[in-house]
Amino acid sequence: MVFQSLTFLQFFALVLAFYWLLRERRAQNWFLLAASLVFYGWVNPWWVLLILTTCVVDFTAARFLTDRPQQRKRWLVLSLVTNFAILCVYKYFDFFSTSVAQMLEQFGIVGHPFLLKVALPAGISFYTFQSASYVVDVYRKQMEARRSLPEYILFVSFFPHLVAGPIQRANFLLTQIELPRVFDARIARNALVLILWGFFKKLVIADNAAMVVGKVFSLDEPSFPVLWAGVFAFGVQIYADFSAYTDIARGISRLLGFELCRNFDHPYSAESPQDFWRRWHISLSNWFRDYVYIPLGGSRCSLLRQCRNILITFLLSGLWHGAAWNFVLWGAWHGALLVLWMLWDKAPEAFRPGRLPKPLRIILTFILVHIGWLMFRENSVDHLLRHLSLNPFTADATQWRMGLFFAAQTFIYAFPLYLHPAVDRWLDRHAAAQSEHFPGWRWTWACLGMAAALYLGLILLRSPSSSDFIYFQF
Amino acid sequence: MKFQSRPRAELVQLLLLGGVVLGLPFLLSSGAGPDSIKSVAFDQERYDKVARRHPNVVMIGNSMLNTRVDKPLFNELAQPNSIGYVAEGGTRSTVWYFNLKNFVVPLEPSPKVVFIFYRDYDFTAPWLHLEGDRLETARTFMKPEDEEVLAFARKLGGVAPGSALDFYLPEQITLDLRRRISGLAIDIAAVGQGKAGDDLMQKHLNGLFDFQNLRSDVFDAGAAGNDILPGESKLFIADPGENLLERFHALAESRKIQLIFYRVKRRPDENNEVIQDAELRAYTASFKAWAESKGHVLLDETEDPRLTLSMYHDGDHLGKNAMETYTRMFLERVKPWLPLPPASPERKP
Repeated sequence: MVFQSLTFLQFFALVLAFYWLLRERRAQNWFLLAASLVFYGWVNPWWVLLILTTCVVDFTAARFLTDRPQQRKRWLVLSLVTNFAILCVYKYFDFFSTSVAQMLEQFGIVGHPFLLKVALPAGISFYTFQSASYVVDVYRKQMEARRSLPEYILFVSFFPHLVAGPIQRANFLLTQIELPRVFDARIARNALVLILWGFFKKLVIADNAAMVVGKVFSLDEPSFPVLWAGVFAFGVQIYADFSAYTDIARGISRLLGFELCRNFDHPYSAESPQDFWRRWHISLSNWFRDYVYIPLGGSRCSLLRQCRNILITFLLSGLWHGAAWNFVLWGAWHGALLVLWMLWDKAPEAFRPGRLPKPLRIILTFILVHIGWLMFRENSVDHLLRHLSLNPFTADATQWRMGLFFAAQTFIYAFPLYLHPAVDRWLDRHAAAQSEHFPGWRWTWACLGMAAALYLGLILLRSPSSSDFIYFQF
Repeated sequence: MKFQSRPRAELVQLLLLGGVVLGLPFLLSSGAGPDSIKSVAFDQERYDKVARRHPNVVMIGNSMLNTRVDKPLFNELAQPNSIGYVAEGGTRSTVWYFNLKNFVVPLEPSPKVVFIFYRDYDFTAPWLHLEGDRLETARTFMKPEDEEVLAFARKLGGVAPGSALDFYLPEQITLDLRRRISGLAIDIAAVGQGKAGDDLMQKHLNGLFDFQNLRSDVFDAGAAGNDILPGESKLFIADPGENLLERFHALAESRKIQLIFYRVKRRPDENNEVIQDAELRAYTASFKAWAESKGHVLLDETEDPRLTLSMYHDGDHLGKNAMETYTRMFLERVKPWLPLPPASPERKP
C-alpha cells in the first residue's frame, strides 16, 4: 500500500478514526499493530511472517541478553546472524551469486549462477537495521530489554515509517509506544501541513522530475549537457521523493500522537561532503556512525585507520542501498570524498576548504554529490563509464540548449524545494521561539495559506504518472 | 479520545485547515479553466491520407506495429493488396476502437481485413493510456459522439466523469498548466532565437527521443501497463460492461470486416523465450475462442523461435535492423488472411 493511493487514504482515515475512539493505550497499541500488519501484508501477506520472525528473534535475544548475563555474546551473535542472514538471502544472494559467476568466467570457468529470484520484501533493510539496533543497545546496556512482545513488534512494524524509514531508535520510538497519547489539535494542524508538503514534493516535484530523468536515462548516447541536466533532475527527484516519504510518515505519526526523528536538513545547502551526510538520510547516517564507524575506531585513532573506517562505513552504506555494483561505487565515491575533504582540511591554513567563500563550498559540494547521483541512478557500469567520460566540448549548441530545457523544466517544478531552506530559516527566526507547532491566529492564517497553496499545486501541477517511492526498493 | 487541553480556538483552527483541503476544489469547478483538451479536433487530414489509399487491409496499433512492420516494404510485398495504417505510439484498445470506428468503417469501399496489434491484456484493460497528453491524442481519433465510449472506458479505470476524483483533479487545467511550463522551459532554452527557435527546439527534442536513440537495456515503461497488477483479474471477459470487444465486433460485422487480433511477441529472455504464466495462456486461449466464435481470428507470434532477443531494441520494440526480416516473416504468417494473394515473387533481402 503506497501513501499516494486512494486505498491508503481510506485505510488511514479508518485507522485514525478508530484509533482515537479507543481510550486505553494498550488497546490503541493492539489496534495499531493490527493496522501495521495489514498495511505490510497488503501486497504480499507472507512478508508479515518475515517481519514477525525478525521481531521474535530480536525480542527474545534481548530478553536472554539481560536474563542470562553469561551468554550475552551468544545471544547478540544469534540475533545479528539471523537478521543479516535474512537480509542476505532476500537482498544480496542473487547479486553475490551472479558476481561470483562473472568472476569465474574471467578464469574460463563458465556456469550458470544459482539464483533464488525471490521478490525483495519492502522495507526489509529499514526494519532489519532498526530491530538490530535495539539488540545492540540492550547489549551495550544503553537501554533495558522490553517485556511486551506486541509493543516491540509495533515498534518495528509501525506502519508510517515501516517501508522507507526514518530508522527509529528504540529509546526514541519504543518509549513513546509505552506512554499514553493525547490528541493535540495544534500538533494535528501542523501535521496536516507537513503531510500536504510531503504529497506536494512527491506528486509535483519528484514525479515531474522523474519524467525528465526517465527520458534522459533512456537515451543510448546522451550528450554531456543533456546527461547532466538529467542528473540534476535526478538530484531533485531523489531528494523530493525520499524527503516526501519522511514528511508524510512524520505527519501521519503526529496525527497518531507519535513523533518521528528528522531525516533531512536541507542537504543541498551542505558546505562539505561531511556536512551533506549530517543533512541527508540522517537516521541512516547516525545508524552507521553508531554501529559501524565508532566500533571500527571512529576518529579516535591514526589518520590512516580513520580513512579506512570511513571507507568501510561508506562501502557498507552503498551496499545497504542496493545489491548492485553501482551502489557500491556510489558508497566508495562518498567515502573517498569524505577522506579527501578531511585531508584537505588538514592542509596549511591558507589552503583549507574553509577559506573558500561559502557559496563556492556549497556549489562544489552540490556538484560532487551530483556526480555521486549519476552512479546511484545508472545501474549499468558500462554506461556509467561512458557517461563519466563524456566531453563537454564535443556537444554542439543544440545539445546545450536541450540540456538547458531539461534543467529549466525541472527547476520550475522544483523551485519550492530550493525555496524551502530560506522559508525554514525565516520560520526559525520568527516562530520557533513560540513553539514548533505555531500557535495563535496569526500562524493559523499562515498555515491556511500554505495549505491552500500546496493543495492547489497538488491539484494543478501533479505529474500524470506517479511511481513508487525510490527508497521502497531498499 | 483524550485531548490535550488547549483553547477551543485551536480546534477551530484545525477544522479550518481541514475545510481548506476539502473545500478548495469547489473554487475550481470541474468545467472551469481552459478547456483545451475537449477542443482537440478529429484528425481529418490523417483520415484523408488513409482514404486516398483505398485500402482493402488496414493495420491498427501502437509502437508495436510501428517498430515491427516496415511499411514501404510490406506495401510492396503485399501487392496487389492496398494497406492502410492507423498506428499511433502509446495508444491502447479504446483508441483502437476509435480507429476502427472513425478511420476504417467509413471507408468506401470497405476494407476486408483489419489487423490490430496488441500485447497480452490490452483488450480487457480499455482504461489504459487515457490520461494527460494521451487523452489529447485519443481525441484526435474521436468524433463528438464518442465521448460516451471514452467516459465508459475511463470509468472502468476509476475516473468517472463528475466523480469525486474527476472533480478533485480537473485534468484539463492541469494539462494546460503543464504545457505552459514546458513552453516556458523551451522559451528559456531557445532564448535569443525567437518563435522559430521554439519550433526548432521542439523538433530537436522529438528527434532526440526517436526509438532508435533509446537504450536497449532500459525497461520500457509503456510495457508496464500491459502487465496485470496484483489483485487484478486475469480472466478473459468479453462482457460489454467490462470492455469494448463486443463493440469492436459489432462495428466489424456492420461492414463485413474480418478482425485479426495480432498478439505480438514480447521481449524474450536470453533463451529467446517469453515466460507466460498459466493464467495468461488460459486468457489467450479464451480470447482466441471468443474471436473465432465471432468469425474473427487471433494470431499469436509469442511462440515463434525466429523472433530472438537480438532483434529487440528497447523493451518490446524491435530494432530498426530487424524490421525487414520481421516484415517478411509477418507476410508469411498473415498471407492466408490477405484478401488478395500477393502476386509478385517476394524480393530477396
